[in-house]
Amino acid sequence: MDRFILRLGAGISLGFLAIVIMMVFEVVARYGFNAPTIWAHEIAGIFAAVAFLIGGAYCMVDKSHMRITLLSDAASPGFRRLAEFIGLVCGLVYIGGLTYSAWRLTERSLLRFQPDGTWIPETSGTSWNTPMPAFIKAALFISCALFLAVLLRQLWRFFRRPNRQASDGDRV
Amino acid sequence: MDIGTLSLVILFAMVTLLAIGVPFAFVSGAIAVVLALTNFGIGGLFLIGSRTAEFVSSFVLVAVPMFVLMASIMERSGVARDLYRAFHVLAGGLRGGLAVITTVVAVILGATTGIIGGEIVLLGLVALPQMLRRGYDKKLAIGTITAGGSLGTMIPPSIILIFYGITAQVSISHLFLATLIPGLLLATLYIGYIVIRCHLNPELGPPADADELAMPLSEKLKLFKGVALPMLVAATVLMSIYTGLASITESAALGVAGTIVAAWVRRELSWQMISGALIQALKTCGVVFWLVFGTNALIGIYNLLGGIAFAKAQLAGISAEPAVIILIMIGVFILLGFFIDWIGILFLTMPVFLPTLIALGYDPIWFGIVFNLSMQIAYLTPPFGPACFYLKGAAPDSISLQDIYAAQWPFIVLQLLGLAIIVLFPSLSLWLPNLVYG
Repeated sequence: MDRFILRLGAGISLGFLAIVIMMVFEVVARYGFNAPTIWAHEIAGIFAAVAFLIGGAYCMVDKSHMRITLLSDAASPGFRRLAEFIGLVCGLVYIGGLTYSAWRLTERSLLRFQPDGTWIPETSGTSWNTPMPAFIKAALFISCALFLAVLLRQLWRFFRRPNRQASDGDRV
Repeated sequence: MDIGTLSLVILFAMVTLLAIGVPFAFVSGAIAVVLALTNFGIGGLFLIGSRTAEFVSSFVLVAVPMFVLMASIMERSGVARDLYRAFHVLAGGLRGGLAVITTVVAVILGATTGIIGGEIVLLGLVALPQMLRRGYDKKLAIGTITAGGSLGTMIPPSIILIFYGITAQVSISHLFLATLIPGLLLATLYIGYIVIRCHLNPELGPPADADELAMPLSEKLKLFKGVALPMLVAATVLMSIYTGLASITESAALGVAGTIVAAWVRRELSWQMISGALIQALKTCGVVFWLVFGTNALIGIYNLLGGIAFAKAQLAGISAEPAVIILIMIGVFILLGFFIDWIGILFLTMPVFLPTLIALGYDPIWFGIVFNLSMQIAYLTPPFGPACFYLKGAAPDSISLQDIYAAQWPFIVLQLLGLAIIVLFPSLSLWLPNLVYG
C-alpha cells in the first residue's frame, strides 16, 4: 500500500513537468504564432489539482505533514502513544467525512445522465467546455479514498505495535 | 450552544489537538466534520467537499508548484554555492563583510524562490561554515542566515502573497510589486545592524585575510560567469509578471524551463535532480494544500453557524479607533506566529480581518504586505520557528536549537522596527504598484 502511494505520487509529480511544457508551448504559440491554445490552461489545471490532492496521502505515508512535536517529544511514551492515536482518529474523522462528501459530489457532477442514457457531466463552461469540474470531484474522491486507506493501515499498524514491542522486550 | 461558547470550544479543541501533536492538516478538518454533523446532519458534509473541490480548481494555484520547482532545481544545482563564492570575495576588508554579503546573496536568492526553507538550508551549508571559520560571532552568523533566508517570501515571488491574493481577491502582481521596497528595507536594516555591531566590536566579524584580498579583480569577476544565466532567468520571470506579458503561472513555468536550461548549460542537469525536485514540489503541495483544505472547510462551517459575523462584531467592539484595531490584528498575527505556520494564520484570521479592514477604509494590498512582514517574524519566533528548524537541519552538530533561538532576538527587533515603518508609511508599499499600474 505505502509503496503503491509513493510510486503513484512519483508518477503524478511528472504532471508538473507536463505543465511546464504546456505553459511554454502556450506562451510560444500565443506570442510566436499568435495562436493561443484553448486546452493548455485547462489540462494544466487538472494535472495540478490531481497532484495537490494525491499529495495528501503521499505526505501521510512519508510522515511529512506538519505537526508540533515539542510537547509530545518531552512526554512519556504512554502519552506519545495516546497522542498518536488521537491524531489518527482526527485524520479518520476528517478524511472519512471528506471522502463521503466527495463521493456524493462526484455522483452528482460526473455520473449525470439524461433520461435516454446520454452522459451529461458538469462542464467548465469555457470555450473548450471540458468536464473538468466533474473530473476534479472524481479526483478528490479517489484521493480521499486512498488517503483513508493509508490512515486505516497506519491505525492497524498502531494496534499491532505494542505486541511486537512486548515480544522484543521479552527477548532482552 | 450559542456561538460565543461554541467559538471558545472550537478554539480550545484546536489548541489542545495542535499541542499534543495532531497534524495541522487534520485538526481543523476534523473539527469541521464534527461541527457539520452535529449541526446540520450528514448533508452538512457537502459543504466540506465542495469547498475543497472549488479551491483546487483555482488556476493561480498552479503557480505554487512551479515556484517550488524553480527553487528546488536552483538549489539542487550548484548555483547558490557559486553565487555565494562569487560574492564573498567582494567582502574584502569590511568588518562583518561576510555577514553583509550573506544578506545580499539571501536577497538575490529570494528573488528566485517564493518559499523559505531551501534557501536557509543552503546558506546554512555554504555561508555558516565560512563565517564560523573566519571567527565570526556565532549568534550574529546564525541570525544573519535565518533572518536573511526568510526574505525568500518577502522578496517577490512569494507563495504567501499568492495565497493572500486569492483570499483577499486582490491582484497578485500588485502584491509582488508592493512587497519589493519593504523587503529591501528589511535587508537594509539587517545590513545596517551587522555593520554597526561589527564596527563597535570588530571581534564579532573579522575582515578577510590577506591572500583573499590579494585576489585580482579579473579573477573575482570570473566567478560571476556561472551564476549570470540563472540570475537572468529569475529577473525575466519577475519582469514578465510585472509587464503582464504572461500570467503568474505561465511566468513561473517559464522560470522552471529557464532554470532547467541553465542547469543544462552548467552541465549539472540529471534526471535524478529533476525527479527529486518534482517529488519535493509534490510534498510541499501536499503539506500546504491539505492544511488549507481543512482550515477552509472549518471556515465554511463556522461562517454558516454565524461565527464570522460574531467574530467581526467582537473585533469591531474592541475599539472605535481604527488604528487600535489594526494593531490588534498585527498582535494576533505575531502571537499566532509563535505557534502555527503562516498558512494556518492566513486562513484562520483573514475571513474575519479582511471585511473589517476594508470597512475601515484600509488598502488590502498594503495589509497583505503587513501580513507578509508579520510572517517574517513568525518564521523566527520560538517555539514554532520554521526558519530555526531549517537551519538546525543544516548546521553543524555543535550548534543546538537553543543556540539558534537565542540568536534570533536582535533580528526580531529589527523586523518589528521594519513592521512599524511599513504600518506608519503605507506609501512605501503602495508607491511602486501605483507607479507601474497607475
